[in-house]
Amino acid sequence: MRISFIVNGKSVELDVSPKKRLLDILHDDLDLISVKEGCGKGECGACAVIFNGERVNSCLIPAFQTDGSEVITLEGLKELPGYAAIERAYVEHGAVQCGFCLSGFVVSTVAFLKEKKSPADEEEIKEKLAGNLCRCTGYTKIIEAVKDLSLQEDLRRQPEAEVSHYVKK
Amino acid sequence: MSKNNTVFRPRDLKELDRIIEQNVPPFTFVAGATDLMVQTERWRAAANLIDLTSVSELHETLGVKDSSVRIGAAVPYSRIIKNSVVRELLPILVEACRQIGSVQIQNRGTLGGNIANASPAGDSLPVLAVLDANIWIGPARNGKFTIKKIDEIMTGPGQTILGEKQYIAFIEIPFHEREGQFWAFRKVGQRSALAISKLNLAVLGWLNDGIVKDIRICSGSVAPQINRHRRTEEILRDKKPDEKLIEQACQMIRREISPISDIRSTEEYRRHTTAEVLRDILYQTFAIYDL
Amino acid sequence: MKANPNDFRVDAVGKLRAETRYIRDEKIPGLWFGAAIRSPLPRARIKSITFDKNFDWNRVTVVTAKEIANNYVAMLENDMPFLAEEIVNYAGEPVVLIAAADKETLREAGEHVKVNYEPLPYVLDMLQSENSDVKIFGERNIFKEIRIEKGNIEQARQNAFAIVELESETGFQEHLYLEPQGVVAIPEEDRVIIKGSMQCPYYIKAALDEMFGGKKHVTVIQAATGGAFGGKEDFPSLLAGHAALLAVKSGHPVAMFFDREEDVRVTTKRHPSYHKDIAYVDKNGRILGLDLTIYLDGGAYCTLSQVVLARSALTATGCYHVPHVRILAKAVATNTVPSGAFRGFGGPQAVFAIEMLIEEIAHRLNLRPDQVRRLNLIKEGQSTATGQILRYSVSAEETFTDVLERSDYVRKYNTYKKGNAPILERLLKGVYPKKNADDMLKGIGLSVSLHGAGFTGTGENRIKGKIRVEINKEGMPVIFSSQTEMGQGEETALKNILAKTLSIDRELILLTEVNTDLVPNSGPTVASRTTMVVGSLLVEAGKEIISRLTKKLNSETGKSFEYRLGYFYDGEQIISFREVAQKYAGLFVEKQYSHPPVIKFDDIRWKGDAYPVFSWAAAVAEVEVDPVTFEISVARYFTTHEIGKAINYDQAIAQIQGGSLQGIGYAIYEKVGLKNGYFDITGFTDYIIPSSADMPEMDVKILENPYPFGPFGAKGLGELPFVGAAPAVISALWMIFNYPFTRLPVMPEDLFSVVRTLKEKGA
Repeated sequence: MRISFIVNGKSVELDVSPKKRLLDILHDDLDLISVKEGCGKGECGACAVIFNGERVNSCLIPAFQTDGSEVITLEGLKELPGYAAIERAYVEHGAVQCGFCLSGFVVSTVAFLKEKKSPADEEEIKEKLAGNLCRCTGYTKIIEAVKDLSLQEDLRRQPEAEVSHYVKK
Repeated sequence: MSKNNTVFRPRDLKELDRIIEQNVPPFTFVAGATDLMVQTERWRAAANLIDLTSVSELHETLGVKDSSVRIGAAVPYSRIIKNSVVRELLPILVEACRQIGSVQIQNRGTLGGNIANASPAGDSLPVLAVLDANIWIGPARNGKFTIKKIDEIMTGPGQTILGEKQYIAFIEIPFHEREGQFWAFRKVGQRSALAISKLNLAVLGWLNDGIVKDIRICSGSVAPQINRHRRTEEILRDKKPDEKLIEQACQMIRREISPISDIRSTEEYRRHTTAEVLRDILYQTFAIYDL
Repeated sequence: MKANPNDFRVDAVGKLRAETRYIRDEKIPGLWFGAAIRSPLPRARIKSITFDKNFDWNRVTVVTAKEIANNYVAMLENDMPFLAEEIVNYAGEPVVLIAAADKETLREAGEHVKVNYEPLPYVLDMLQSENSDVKIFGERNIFKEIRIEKGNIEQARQNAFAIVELESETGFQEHLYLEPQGVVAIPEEDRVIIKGSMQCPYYIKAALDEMFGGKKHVTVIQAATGGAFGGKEDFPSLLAGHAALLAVKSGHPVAMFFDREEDVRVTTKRHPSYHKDIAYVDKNGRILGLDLTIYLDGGAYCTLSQVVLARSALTATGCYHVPHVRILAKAVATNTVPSGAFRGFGGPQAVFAIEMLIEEIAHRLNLRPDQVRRLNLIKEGQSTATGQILRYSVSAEETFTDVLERSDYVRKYNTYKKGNAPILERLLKGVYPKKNADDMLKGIGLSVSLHGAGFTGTGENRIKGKIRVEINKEGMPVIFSSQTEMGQGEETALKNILAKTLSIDRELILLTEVNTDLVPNSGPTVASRTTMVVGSLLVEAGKEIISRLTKKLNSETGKSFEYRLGYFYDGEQIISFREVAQKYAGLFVEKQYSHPPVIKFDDIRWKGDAYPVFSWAAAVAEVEVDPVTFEISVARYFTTHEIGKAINYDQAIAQIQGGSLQGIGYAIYEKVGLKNGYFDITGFTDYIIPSSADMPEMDVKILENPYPFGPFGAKGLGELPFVGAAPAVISALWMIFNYPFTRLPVMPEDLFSVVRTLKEKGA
């Protein structure tokens, strides 16, 4: 079937099997390699993207439901003004190891911050990031990075991270 | 996978029902797809896909209507969790939804999907059972939906009474007396978050002058189906809860459940722990401690 | 806490911008996909393989065993075939390979192959294997048997105040690296290029050189690798063989990409173990002798089991000084998926067993577990089971003392015991255990652990790792090594070591792509050896570069420059490293490793320096058990590591945090069973690893005690954090229940059974 949707602010039209996973469309067809397959069952979060404004696992979204949708991947997020701060926090807190889970974590970090009115406590971050699994870091440094980011008021409720704003750009 | 899989994305109920009427089953109704797409074989075989998230009534309905809360079958958990009306009126439902999977799953998964997939581990199902939810099954005939209770719909793991042209349309939860109400939802899994339950237990009841006016208890993940424990409820109803009574209730629930052993847990553990979680809930609710 | 900028990882930004390409991210024109048809039975005779005539076989490429001239994966024993020919020895063993242009055709083709099996008797239990009529490996199904003796165990027995015996077991563990296995083979006329997710490119090259009998040039290139933990040490040789066979036959590049389910079902796991241990102790708990029997389940083929066993045996006495030792260790064959390398490599099983034995000693003599440990900790000048005298960098006591103090172990031990008593009493009476809604059983446990850094025994002297550092046209030193980055921070560490040696900015140093056509074999990236062994070569190389540049500069100018922190200086002139290096572009230095001669090992008699040095750790775990559901969690985890010198302090902490959580997973979350000889797990849904919601509060401290032959004193680190985590957690369960927990993992169901047993005993 023909689907058209917006990816990182750009319109995309494709002819795909309706059951094709959004993960495969993004990774294989559109070369958005930040979207990783760690499990294919919605458990690990490595394929997380922002879909119609919410973070989801793209391995569990069939092509036919992406028609008319708005998708943002890490490739899109990194163009946002707030991204430099996120990158800096992950680097400075030493939160990067093998990197395979990383774009999923960053997507979840952005989505998490977007809804925060006040700085986050550790327990809340742990709970909200529990849908992204990492086997290298033991999470401590990732949590520290996110905690640090949540102290920065301009990153919380960042209008730039709203899809609508992004799409207009 | 052929590119010619037929797909329907009806915009409203009228269109949905027309599609069902005019086409030949089997149909695969798809909401958040979080259960469906992980069942590799079933997903591969799925034909005539009908999107329920495109049906505005099913995707948008969320709020109070006719002295009940009505939730569209394709409303994702996260919207239920964030909805101020639901939070106020149905905290037990919010609690169950919060414990289903990760935020990413909550943003996609739906009550309708949880019901239609009839997974014995579906965390929302015991809660819908104790809330005495009415499940509206479409298509409506002459404007009337078929209405069933949750335990009437599931017939076994992955099995429901739904005909091949039927779908879950709405979940209607009647207003409950708030006065004296107590509730609990407990999930026991292999880790703190995101693991499929070994067992879960939902309890909803009302206390008046120290007497249990009514109580509903339902377990999930323990057996091939969720179970309302009516005999256990009977023991507690119209009584003043004390240690002895609770002990009787715990003994009864041990008899009432028929747990299985599988990769997640053992029969013995499930039987014991279901009863002890019930005891824990009741002790905490009634502040019964051996002081 | 933010890291020192020198500790920032060189690969972080590329990964955060999704510029780093893992193998599935590579665009390879004309790429086909390959898959294996696998045995559904743990042991069977292949009677026939038939290909359905109704399928158009021209669309695909098929490979069977009889087409492979050298049908064995060159490893220690060469016993594992690329494809089974007559007998399959484990459920999941590959039998037929197929490749097609797309995954759908591939799946279809697979459904049209019928393999006819005659089921044969099989053996799954490692303790029954030796005497089984089922012969998997040799006459006795023993891959390797090791005997180590020190002193006279009889003497210890005679002098013993108490004889303490304990049987213990550990289960399979899955690596669950986030990136599943993936390898691509690209065929050229006389050459095959292998590119993929891997730890050891030269292992793959050796296996494929052997497979092709030298008829093809094999080039192996590492793609970015998304976690490995040992899981990509030996297994990729098999996978690369499959890809190469299909690629050469089809003429197309072929990808062998596992999905998660295939990955967890057929790739190697940590060796399950069984220990039967006897300790002879005096009345104070001092260990006079240890008589240890070790079994490791190697699965159907040997892979690296012989060396895993060696590390298990050589680690079996833990951090303790024991005058009389007898160790009998066997790695046996069973009809299960071959076990393979996994972080710790036999060490975790051994340390679990000895630490539980110590718990049992404490239990028997009514001592606190820390008292028995402290009494027996090994010190500088004392000797190990092989008679290795620890001459330097010994920190068992220092790490132990530090972690006990920081965690306030003794006070908490007493407080928690007191707090638990009434809860336990009620629990064992069968009444509701809580007084307060949030009552929890609180345990505090501890462990001491060690890890021999680098290869076991004479391994390093056999592999003779080699590196090259070359000055390029821009005056930048370029490192050529076969070490791989898989998340542990290898690239950052190597650059930091050379930068520090040369006293120049890390940004001036380049690392060559890991490609066997370009880099010498500096050895595999395993055994916590990269920083210590390869790092030491870089220090030597760096020093030689300075001296050669100084010489050249002096002979050309006739002056006497000397090198000062990045500059050449002769009293009048000061010239930067880069400026001078640029003049002598092309200059290169090669360095090859062998142990300092003072390190000697006899691997026939198992005597001497089994490892050049050990790294040390001690841990304290605070564990909570819900008395109603028996759910277990680790609330706080303290650990003190002594690793010689932290080359990258922040990332050393990161390794310790990550390794510790993986070890906590091994203790109380991660369980693999067998069902009809098959693993009963399919992926993240039923194999539960800790999530962020399960992580304890981590409190990590690093002590330094330099190793005289390591780069700036550094020793190995990568595996050590894993080793002591499970015993510390389980020690806390002993403390709570006063019950010997001897099997890993421990699940809530197990606690439930234990409490039931204790209740029955009490009644």
